[in-house]
Amino acid sequence: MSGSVLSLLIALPVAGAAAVAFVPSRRPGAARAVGLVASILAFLAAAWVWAAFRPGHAGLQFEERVAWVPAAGINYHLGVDGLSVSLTALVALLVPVTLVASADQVPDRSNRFVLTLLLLEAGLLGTFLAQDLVLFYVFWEAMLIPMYFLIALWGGPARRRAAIKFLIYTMAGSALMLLAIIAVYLQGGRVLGTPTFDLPALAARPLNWPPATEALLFGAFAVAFAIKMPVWPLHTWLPDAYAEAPPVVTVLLAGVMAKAGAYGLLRFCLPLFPDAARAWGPLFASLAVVGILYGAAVAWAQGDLRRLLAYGSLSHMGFILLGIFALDIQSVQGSVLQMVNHGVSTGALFVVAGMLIGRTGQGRTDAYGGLAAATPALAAATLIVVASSLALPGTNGFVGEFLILLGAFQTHPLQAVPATAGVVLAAAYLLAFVGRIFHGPLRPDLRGLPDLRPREYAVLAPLVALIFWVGWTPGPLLDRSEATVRALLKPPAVVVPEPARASVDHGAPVSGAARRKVAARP
Amino acid sequence: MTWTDLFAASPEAILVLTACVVLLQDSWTTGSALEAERRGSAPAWLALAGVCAAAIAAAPVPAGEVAAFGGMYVRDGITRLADMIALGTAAVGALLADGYVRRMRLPAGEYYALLLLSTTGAMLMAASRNLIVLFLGLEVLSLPLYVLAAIARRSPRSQEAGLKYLLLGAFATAFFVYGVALVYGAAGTLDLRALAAQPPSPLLGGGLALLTIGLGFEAALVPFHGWAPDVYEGAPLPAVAFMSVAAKVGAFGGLIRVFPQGFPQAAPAWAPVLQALAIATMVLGNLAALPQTNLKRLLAYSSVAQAGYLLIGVAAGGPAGTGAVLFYLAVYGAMNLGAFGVLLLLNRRGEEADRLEDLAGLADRAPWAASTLALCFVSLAGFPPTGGFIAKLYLFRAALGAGQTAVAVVGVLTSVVSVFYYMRVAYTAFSGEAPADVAVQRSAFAGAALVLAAAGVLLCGIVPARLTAAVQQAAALLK
Repeated sequence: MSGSVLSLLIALPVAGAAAVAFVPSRRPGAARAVGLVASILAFLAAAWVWAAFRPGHAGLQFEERVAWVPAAGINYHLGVDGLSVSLTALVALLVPVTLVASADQVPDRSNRFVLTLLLLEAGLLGTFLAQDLVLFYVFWEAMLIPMYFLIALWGGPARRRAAIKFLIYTMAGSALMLLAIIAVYLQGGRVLGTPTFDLPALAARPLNWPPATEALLFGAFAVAFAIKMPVWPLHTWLPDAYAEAPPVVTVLLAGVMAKAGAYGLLRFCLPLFPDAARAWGPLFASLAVVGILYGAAVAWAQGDLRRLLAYGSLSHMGFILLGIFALDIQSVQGSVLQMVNHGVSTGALFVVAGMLIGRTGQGRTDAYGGLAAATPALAAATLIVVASSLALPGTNGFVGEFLILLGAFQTHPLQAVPATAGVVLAAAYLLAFVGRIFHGPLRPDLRGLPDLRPREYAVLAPLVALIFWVGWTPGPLLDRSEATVRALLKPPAVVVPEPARASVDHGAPVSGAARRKVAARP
Repeated sequence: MTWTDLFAASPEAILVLTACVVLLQDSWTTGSALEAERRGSAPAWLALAGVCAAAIAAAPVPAGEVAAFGGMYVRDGITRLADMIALGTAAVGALLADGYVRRMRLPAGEYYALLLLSTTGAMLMAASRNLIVLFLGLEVLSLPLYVLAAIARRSPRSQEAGLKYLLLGAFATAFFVYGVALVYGAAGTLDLRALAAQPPSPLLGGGLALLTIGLGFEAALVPFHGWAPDVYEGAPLPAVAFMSVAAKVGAFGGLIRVFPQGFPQAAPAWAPVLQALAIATMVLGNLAALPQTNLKRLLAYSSVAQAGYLLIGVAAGGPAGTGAVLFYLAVYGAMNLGAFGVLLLLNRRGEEADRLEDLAGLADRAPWAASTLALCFVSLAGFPPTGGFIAKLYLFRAALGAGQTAVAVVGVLTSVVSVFYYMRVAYTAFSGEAPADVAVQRSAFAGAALVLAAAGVLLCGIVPARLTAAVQQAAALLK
């Protein structure tokens, strides 16, 4: 099974989508069943990869490498390492969850909805697995189209505007990244002898950029990822898209698509442009802090459920960005962990929002009140999810944010101090959210609202279980990413003497030099 | 003329012969009545057979290059690829036309004969190594197109389109011939290989500029694009579908023969000019397409914009640029024919349904047609995993490799602009309720054409290795 399990992982949703295309449109139940089977199979494959992943190895595992367009130096190169293994599993987990949740929330043309969702899953998985610059770009862009249609066809009243805004913003960012990719390819050709788009080959050696060029190309990559994350001030597409997309789609939009941006920064910006990443790190860390505080403050003022959660998500993504550009083992480890955590807890928050909106048709927080009396189980689940978002000890969020702040205090104390205030602000808006909806006297028009249905238990249970599991035993996740993160943060001086083979060490243990270097840090 | 000459030019010869046969067959069966009552698909089948035969003749990979007619006509990798693209366009164009021609009672024999002759012209342009042959090709390409634009003789719009195209085309022809004359005056030769050895001179530069105008008109480059929206809007849809691709194949076949091959020594002079033209074409084409609600006009401006992208490759020059142009032409043919092909299926009480809102709800009635439409528009916008993305990747790579950063940056930014109008069309097909008076015509011929186009778009995007290798091999001859 291990030979081409990653290709299988991408192929399963595509095959599912193809199968759904042949299901007659009058049978939405069958289409959903097909989609569910395909995505659960994909989840099983991803879970297998996660379980079989050997911690302690920095390089790629389960690698697949086939020449795709040999004449142009493009390879079909897949692989997972510590950065991507947990994210891949997260994508594969959230898609079936979304499919189940969508059964109640997306009534019309649901065959096409399932089909589009599966194509989106293939794009997302590919994005996290691709190890070739062009292949990565292909998946990166390919997931935009399904997402555009998911927002534009099944979203709220202003869906078209929100969808096109989302598409134009993200495409504008990635278009310049495409040119930067070509520039890296051309420079790689000069340094390596043969031009290639293969990431490990390009990252194995310093590309000897002139500093100005490196900064420019770093910028082209970083802006593309920053728009996707999103980073303040490039976030303006986010509230519209999050609020107009169907709530189940927002689960994926906030849960995993935003992570693709953070992942890209780690995967491409750091190894390809190490000097520029160090030089511009403080700026990005500062933007992260602005995002944390701004997002939290604006979230507090929102009267719309999903806009509140959208700005809250923006604020939380700020922590991840801060962790990345603190460029410290602990903080980057925290960021990698927090990417998964944020995916779980923000995803769960939007699932809950979808359940609320599905029951009442109301998106505004003041349409709710005292719901805990009518729907106690939903209220309890929401409180757990909110606790995780708040980073309460015992939940997954605590581990991640603690590591991020711990690392950031060592390298960027100036940014870390105000960022801590973000934790307090998060408590303010999230508890206000819970308070406004579930506490106080029950509004008479909400009396008799149904509590969680069995299907909804099935949606929330895995997410809640993950929240506690990671909160109590974060070890398995942290172990998986540690070696890769250490290798990523190696100063360039250690990278130079590595052999300039076409592909780098597959799962070789971290070099002793890197360990000593890290151990020498205060 | 020897047998070798004829053998080298056999693809073109087969097409011309087939055109004559189609005309004769049509006049025998219909008695030359302009609007005959009963018509089968025989002319379409004949045309397809001719195209297939020509493709078989054009398929063998030439070893190096085969020069014929005293070196005026050359078969090399570039000719072969351009031939295959032109013939593919003709085949899909013929398939698309069948239902429409019968429904609208257009003169079928003439239609297919003109289509074949025009294809011959496009192939001839890509095969020319002499400016006179290039001129012949240009005329053989464009004269049938003028008539095709006006072939719906009961439609005043179609007549107007044909007349506009003819008049403006005549101007462009005049510029071209005058340019040829100047080049001859400066160099004393019209052979492109001999011209490549000429030192630059003002007279030569003037001639080159006039040649650019002539070819730029055919390619619909800004500022010579004025005819495109009106002609596209007025001409019958299958004619537009064919014209939009065939004219580009011919024009860019000619452009890569003239610039990277004929005047490589003057590249420092013409490269900035072509870059400026490319930038103007991409910017204006895309901006003008934004507000369009008539699909034919939208696609007209879109094809202007696409010409701008193609010109990036010509301006970059060298094997990389030329290869990128050839690859883009192949993809462009597939995606444009696919896009027009779906529009062809719609009609409102016997008229063309070419407004944006006519597409609404298409996915509920004809899900596969709507998917093909979405695929082609996604490809036009340059998204993976379609051929449009790989093609743009090669173009931008060629530009950056030649140090032409500005044109590449404008290229990607205008692609972002294009997303807006392309995705609006794709979105419309999947949303809303279908208008009651718009019917979807189904025909096996058109279905086959759409399958071919969609397969082309997808194959160029997912498994582009073979085509990439072929274009690189073809362009490598050009040094």
